[in-house]
Amino acid sequence: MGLKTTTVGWFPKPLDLRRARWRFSEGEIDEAQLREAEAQATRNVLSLQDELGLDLLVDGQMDRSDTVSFFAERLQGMELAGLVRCHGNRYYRKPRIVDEVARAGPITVESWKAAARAAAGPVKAILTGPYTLMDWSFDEHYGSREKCCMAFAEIVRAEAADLVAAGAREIEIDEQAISTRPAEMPLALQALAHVTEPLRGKARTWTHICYGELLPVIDAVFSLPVDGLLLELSHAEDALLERLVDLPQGMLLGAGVVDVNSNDVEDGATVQARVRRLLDRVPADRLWLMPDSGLRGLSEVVARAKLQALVAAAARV
Amino acid sequence: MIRSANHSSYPRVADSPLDQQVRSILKAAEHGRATADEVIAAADEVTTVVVADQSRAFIDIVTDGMVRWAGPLSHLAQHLDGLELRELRRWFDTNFYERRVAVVGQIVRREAFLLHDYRVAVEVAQKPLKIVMPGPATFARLAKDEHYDSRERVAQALADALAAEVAELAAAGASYFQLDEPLLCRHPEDLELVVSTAEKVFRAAGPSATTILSTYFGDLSALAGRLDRLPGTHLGLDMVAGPGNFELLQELPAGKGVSLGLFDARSTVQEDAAEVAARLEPHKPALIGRDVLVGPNAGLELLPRDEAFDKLLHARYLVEKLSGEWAWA
Repeated sequence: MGLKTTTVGWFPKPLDLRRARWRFSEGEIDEAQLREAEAQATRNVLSLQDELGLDLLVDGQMDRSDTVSFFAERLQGMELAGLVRCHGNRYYRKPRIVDEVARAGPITVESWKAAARAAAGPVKAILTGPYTLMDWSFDEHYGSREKCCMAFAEIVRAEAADLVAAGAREIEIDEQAISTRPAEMPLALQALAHVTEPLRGKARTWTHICYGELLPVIDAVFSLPVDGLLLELSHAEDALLERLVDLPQGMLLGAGVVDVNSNDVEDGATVQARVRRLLDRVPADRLWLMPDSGLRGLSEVVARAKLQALVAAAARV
Repeated sequence: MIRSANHSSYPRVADSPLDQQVRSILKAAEHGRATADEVIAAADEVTTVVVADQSRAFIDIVTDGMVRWAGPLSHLAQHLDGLELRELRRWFDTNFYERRVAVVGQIVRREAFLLHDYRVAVEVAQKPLKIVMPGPATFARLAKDEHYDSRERVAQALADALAAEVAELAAAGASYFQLDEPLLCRHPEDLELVVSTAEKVFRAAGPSATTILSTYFGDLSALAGRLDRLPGTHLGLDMVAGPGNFELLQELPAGKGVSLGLFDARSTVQEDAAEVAARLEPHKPALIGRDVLVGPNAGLELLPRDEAFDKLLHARYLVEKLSGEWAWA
């Protein structure tokens, strides 16, 4: 039978696509050619997931630059500021909010539809959550984190509704920043509820959280209004793992069991050990396996190997 | 006297491809396409650029921009024995992440780890160059101790390593040192640990050095009445994230310098020097006889480079304004 498997969205951008993006930025190819390169890369990523036997697929976010600026470029009221380092040698164009944020129209629907058509299995739509959109931007307009966050909630709610109308039945709302300020968990929860409330009964909702201190906010995380949590847990300490026994009835857990910030591919025994720690606390029928976070920082070879290790571990259960 | 001072880091990368040497070379090195020497050469070049940027803003006390630091704490693991890097963790409540440091053995300084940076930066610096180091007490709280089984012993071991580094730096001519202890704002109970470790590190700088104990991401209200315990020639206070610090200015010990973080290193909104001056005006009696440093409240690497530069410019404007308007002792 085995455990179910998925990923959290990002796949490494292949060389052809990176070249196309560069050539587009230099004016050497037009937008249609860039889009075709993205579409080809998306098809390849979907094939890879199908070949490896993942259960719930993603489009690899081949058309996105990063978690926040992709949306910022497409929303009114936002501009991209300069590059800001987020960790190690990684940078992102942190957006600035300069006016009321608004959505001119659907942002991700067409690319999700294209991926869904090309995929052999179900494809999860992926959005960035309102709290993360707010927290990972410079606010020069609202002056109130609550107002700013709820403005984004309105946008993400509309986008999610459009995805459902287009046929999406699995929607992941990434909230990597949600644990940043424990005192703001009620705000994050309120914003996420605004997004997911209308989706109830129409789509399965997930949220992905990584690289923060989860333990101090774990009760609030368990109360998030989604069907499943996607958590980075490869290196989780025992104290956090112990709390997984309190995962609410009916809530699914996608657990990270391979480290996406290391080029070392975990061997079978390592992944198995991580899975066993989880199975001691979470029923197998509610446990999914996944990488800790997006795979985009890895080479294609390493990403594939890590997914193979993950799928193999899932199959052994 | 009032002077402007950069707090610590400065953006090592900017938008132009020419301003992305460090990023490119590190990426190449990751894939085996660049040598360690090439990485050092690129970091040297960028160090001179960020020092020059601070000079262009006419900042009175500059830093090397910490362009070689992978993270505020994780950099140490490259140069000290007994430390390992683990999973990513968020740096306070910022959008910056770094690998958590695990203490897996005795902390021993394997090699000089700031001396080269200092020499490269001081070569081009027109003004005093400040060395910035992580505070032992903050390090001990954030690191995962798998060896000492004692937060105090971790902090003291790191303080020993930092003191040795500071002694070498002082011998090489460095005379401005800053220890960052942001967690003191959240853990005032660490006061005595901060005192003993900072004293150890600052002592190594020699009696004539300027030594700044920098606190940020909060205020020191919980230490009201005990500020005289804190070592260093200057106390660094975050006036943005810790507005409660304004009330503490009146109880600074006589003769103690103060480094005021008045410009928000986490916001692209540029503060107006006149408005900042107006906020300081009620505290003029507490400041006028001191050595006052003004600048950003934390490392500027949390901003794009253009915005970081503007923050420094506004700090300089503040100095120009208050130098002219206040009768400094």
